Amino acid sequence: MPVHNGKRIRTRDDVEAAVRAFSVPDWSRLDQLAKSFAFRTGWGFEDLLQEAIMRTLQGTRNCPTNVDIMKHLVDTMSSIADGEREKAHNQTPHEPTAQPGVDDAKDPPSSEWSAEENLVYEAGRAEILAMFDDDPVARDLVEGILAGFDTEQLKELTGLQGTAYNTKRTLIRRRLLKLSQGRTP
Amino acid sequence: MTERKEARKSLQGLRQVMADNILETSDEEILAQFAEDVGSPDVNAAGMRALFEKTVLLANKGRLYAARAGVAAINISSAGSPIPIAEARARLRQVLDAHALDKSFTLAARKESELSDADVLDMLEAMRELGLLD
Repeated sequence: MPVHNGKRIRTRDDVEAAVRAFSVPDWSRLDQLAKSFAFRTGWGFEDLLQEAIMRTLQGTRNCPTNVDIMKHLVDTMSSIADGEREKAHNQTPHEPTAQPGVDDAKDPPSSEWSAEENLVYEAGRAEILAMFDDDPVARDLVEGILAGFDTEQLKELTGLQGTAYNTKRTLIRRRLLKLSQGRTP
Repeated sequence: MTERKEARKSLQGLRQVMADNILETSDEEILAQFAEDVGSPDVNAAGMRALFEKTVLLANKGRLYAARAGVAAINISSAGSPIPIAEARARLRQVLDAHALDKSFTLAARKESELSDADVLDMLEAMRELGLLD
């Protein structure tokens, strides 16, 4: 096995064999994962998946031998998608958000975030939350996730445990995927 | 006003929760949900497998181009480019624009500005061989 940065990595043949061994449920998962990561990148989900596979085969994104290939493709798609959103942000002309006379030298990050982008973010957030107006518990769960709560905090917030918690997460995921595909939930 | 980093992190968190849920869902459940929300899982699997095999072929071609580019780079350094590189890039851009909707061109291949001079010349040569160029 080749070694890269001190880690044993999968060979190209190994990667190909692992992907060819994917089952029908695995491909269903990959389709859903690609769609969730491609959302609002400007890329089609198949392009995103193809790019992740291409980078893995070409060795620009190596898969360590101890990492599941599906997990590796998920991380790679996530990374590419984040990069694309960042590129889109950098290509957007930014109006300064700081008020004249206000000392903004101590807080530079907000100057990177235009008022227009903030409106887009807030509108997107509102759109996501509105999808759960009929289900206050799901809405609380989404709000908690967006606020960065961990699993225990989310369970405490919603009062959900075990299967009920997982079922609610699944409902949220399926509705959001429909949103990403432009379909009514 | 929401900070940019905070907004980015919150949406990443939501995507991660979705990804974890997809990975944790049992085979039976994911198949049933897929059939209800999207369509036939078997048809999807066949399409995805075909996409994968196409990507393997493209990666193989890429390896071939890279090997050729190595030779081309040596030739360029010893004999100079057969056409000015700016002209070569313009011609490549023309071909890529003409095939902008062609899925057989990977996204990487569609970005002429990110290619080295040797890659540009090699890609033009490969396109000539494929009959995409005179």
